[in-house]
Amino acid sequence: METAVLQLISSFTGSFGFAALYNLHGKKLWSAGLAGMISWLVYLIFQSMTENNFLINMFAAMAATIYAELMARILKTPATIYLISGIIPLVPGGDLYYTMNYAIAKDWHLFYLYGQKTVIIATAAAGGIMMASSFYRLCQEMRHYFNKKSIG
Amino acid sequence: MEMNQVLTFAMEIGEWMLMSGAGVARVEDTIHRICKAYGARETNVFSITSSIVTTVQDKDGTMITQTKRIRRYQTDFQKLDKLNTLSRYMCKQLPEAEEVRERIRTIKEGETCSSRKQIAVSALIAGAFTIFFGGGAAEGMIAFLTGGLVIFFGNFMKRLMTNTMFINFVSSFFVASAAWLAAKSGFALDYGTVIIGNIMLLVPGVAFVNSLRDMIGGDMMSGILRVCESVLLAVFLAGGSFAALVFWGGVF
Repeated sequence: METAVLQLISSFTGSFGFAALYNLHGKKLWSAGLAGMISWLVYLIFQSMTENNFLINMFAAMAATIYAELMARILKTPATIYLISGIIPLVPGGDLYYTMNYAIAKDWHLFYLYGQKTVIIATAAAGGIMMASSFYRLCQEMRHYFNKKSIG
Repeated sequence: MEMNQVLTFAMEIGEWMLMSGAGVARVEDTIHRICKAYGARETNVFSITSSIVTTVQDKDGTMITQTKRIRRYQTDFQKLDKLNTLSRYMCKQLPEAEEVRERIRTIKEGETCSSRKQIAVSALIAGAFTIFFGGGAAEGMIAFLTGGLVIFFGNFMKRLMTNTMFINFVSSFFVASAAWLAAKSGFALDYGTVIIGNIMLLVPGVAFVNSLRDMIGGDMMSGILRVCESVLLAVFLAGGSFAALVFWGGVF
């Protein structure tokens, strides 16, 4: 429990920090930090339910995408800003680094383990984002379509 | 406005969006929309992360082509936001050349993250990720200090030379040395978490996920380019810290 709280706080700080580094200001900066915390919260919730790394990361990325699309609408900014901030705790930067580290150390067993993990997490995150954003667009298009129909 | 002028502005907006961290699909879409709004008959845009090529056919059937080559990137959400607003405004109101030129100039000259703020924020990020990956308070403090130093050092190096790979190699050598010395002298228990917290500042994790996103979305070319770039960058980072540990005698 204690580690979960620490991780939530540090994921907020990490996302907040990167958004500040990418020159974001004010209210938008705080919502960018919140994006990271929400995606990590969803990650922790699903982690307690399933062992499947792919699914956990996919759902967390989907949550980040939904949050980003909503905030984009509320604060009138491109969704990418919140999306990039939101997935920062999820991205397998550390795993990518460890993979290459073991390649250099010629420890091929660990290289294989970490490489596999990196690819799985990255694919899950990218897939989650694509799915959630495609679904969001689909809903929007359908709403436009039916609105037009009822008027015409 | 003349089509030639419209295309020049659209390309400039696209170039700055790509430099500020927008996705390839987004850039292509923006250029396409602007040209169409100003009455182009046909627009063909092709963009990868380092280049944009656009051919437009105007109302009289004249073909115009322009190319941009992008060499440096500086993710900047504020510019991205403003460029997005500008392109929407252009598509709706069709402003004249003078106004657009003025607006683009203001966006380009907009304030960037100052070097002092960059150092402070990087220190915060490094500290946060060290704790995120299971480090204690002492490791967090060490990472906080080295995180600030490494960005200060990196900015200084960038002024002298431009090769990103080499700068990353040297930076991670520096990080690993600092972490190892801190562990050796007894300030920190575990140098692994200090290294990883600082590496999170340098490693292109977001670029890696975004490139997979590009590939799933159908932009194979830019996806493959960026995957290669981020993997190679990770090799250099790992090489740097490995070299440091070998140099100081931690492992061999």
